[in-house]
Amino acid sequence: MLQPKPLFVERMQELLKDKQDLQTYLDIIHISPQNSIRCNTLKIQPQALKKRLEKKWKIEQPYKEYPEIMIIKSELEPGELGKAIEHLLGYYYVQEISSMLPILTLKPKPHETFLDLCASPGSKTTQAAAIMQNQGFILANDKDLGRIIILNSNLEKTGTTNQLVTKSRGEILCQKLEKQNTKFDKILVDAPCSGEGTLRSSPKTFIIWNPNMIKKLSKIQKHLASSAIKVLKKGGELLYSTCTHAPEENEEVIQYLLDNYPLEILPIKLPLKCRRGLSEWRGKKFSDELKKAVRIYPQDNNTEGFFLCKMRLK
Amino acid sequence: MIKFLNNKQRKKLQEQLKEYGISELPRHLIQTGKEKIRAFSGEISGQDIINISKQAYIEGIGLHILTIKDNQIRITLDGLHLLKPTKKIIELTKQQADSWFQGKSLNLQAEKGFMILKYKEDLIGMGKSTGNIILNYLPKERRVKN
Repeated sequence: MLQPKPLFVERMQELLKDKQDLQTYLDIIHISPQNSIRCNTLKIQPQALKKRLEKKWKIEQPYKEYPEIMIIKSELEPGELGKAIEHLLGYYYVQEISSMLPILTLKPKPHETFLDLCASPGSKTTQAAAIMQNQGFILANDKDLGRIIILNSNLEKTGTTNQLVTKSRGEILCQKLEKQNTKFDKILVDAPCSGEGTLRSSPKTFIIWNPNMIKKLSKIQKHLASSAIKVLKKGGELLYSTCTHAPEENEEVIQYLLDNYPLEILPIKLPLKCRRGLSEWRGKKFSDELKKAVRIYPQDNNTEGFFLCKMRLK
Repeated sequence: MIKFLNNKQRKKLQEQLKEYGISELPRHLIQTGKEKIRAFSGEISGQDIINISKQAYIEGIGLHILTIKDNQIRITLDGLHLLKPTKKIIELTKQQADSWFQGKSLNLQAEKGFMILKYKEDLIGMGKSTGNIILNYLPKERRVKN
């Protein structure tokens, strides 16, 4: 079994000060996450899908207000979720619950314009298209062609019709769009990150993880999120998210944005246990506003780890 | 190259699709390349698309719903889900549907030409009937991997 590096444990100790809490965290990161899916409401309604799936699996809908989110409680063979006819037909998308949270928070509406700056593999883009009912407009961008092929395949499978997919570095795309005055109602920056929150599904992160990477990523994230603000409409909303716990990639990035742009942080309401954003990390003080940001730890809801912050441009 | 279909082209397509019981087409149809027709519901103008295409490589737009080759129309799996055809449908047994999802052609007598395949309430693809065999056009990524 792969083990976290001592430096990683040290950092997590600083984040999770309670010993029992830390131990629960260190235990759960070695356990595979639950099998969760999202009903693709562009093709089928949740109750109809549930009825079909219940013929083969035990299904739970953990959140009353989001019936599209389902957990498969039965033991599954490897690849079983991907082989099911309902999956091949695009009736559901295999997606970890924490990865559904950015769109549940940002809530792009039909007829709004939405930019998904780092869109591949398309979990959030397809989720946005579903709640926008294929109306409005989605610009889904990614910089890597290989990842765009997967994005396009997922957009096809889910029956998404309101999107344009572009290949560009996010910062460069935003600079160019700004020049032609193209602006969006809502933007998602689900930034590339060190992936500390995905240890349960991707244990290779135990090996890849190193503190230098966090520093590098923090710079990239600040640049990327700053660029996005330039194409956000006044009064528009930006959701910044990562699947990591590192404060340098989360609160520090948001603090940088608050220092440089007229933004207000909006409260987030989600149907699971959320912890507040940090007000300090290793001597660096953050604005009190950052308490409205949300940290999701795997031991709190039996999910992966995540960070979310929703901002409005004044 | 992205090209919006004009009224004349739409009407021609609408006529051709009547044999499958499809009467309504998506609001915007776009041709990409020589053969692919895509449905696009994005609420932006053609000029906006051109503007964006000047700033970044466009790698996809809307949903691929039809392929037109040699004046014959093939509806994609996701196109079937969007267009909801009601005619020229063959109902399959479980065994036949399983073979279809494995990418196999089906030994099945049917009228010649493109036919829509259905298993229970699901439209599961379009195949070309030679009279005795239905040729399988299901894309690899939509097949059951062994």
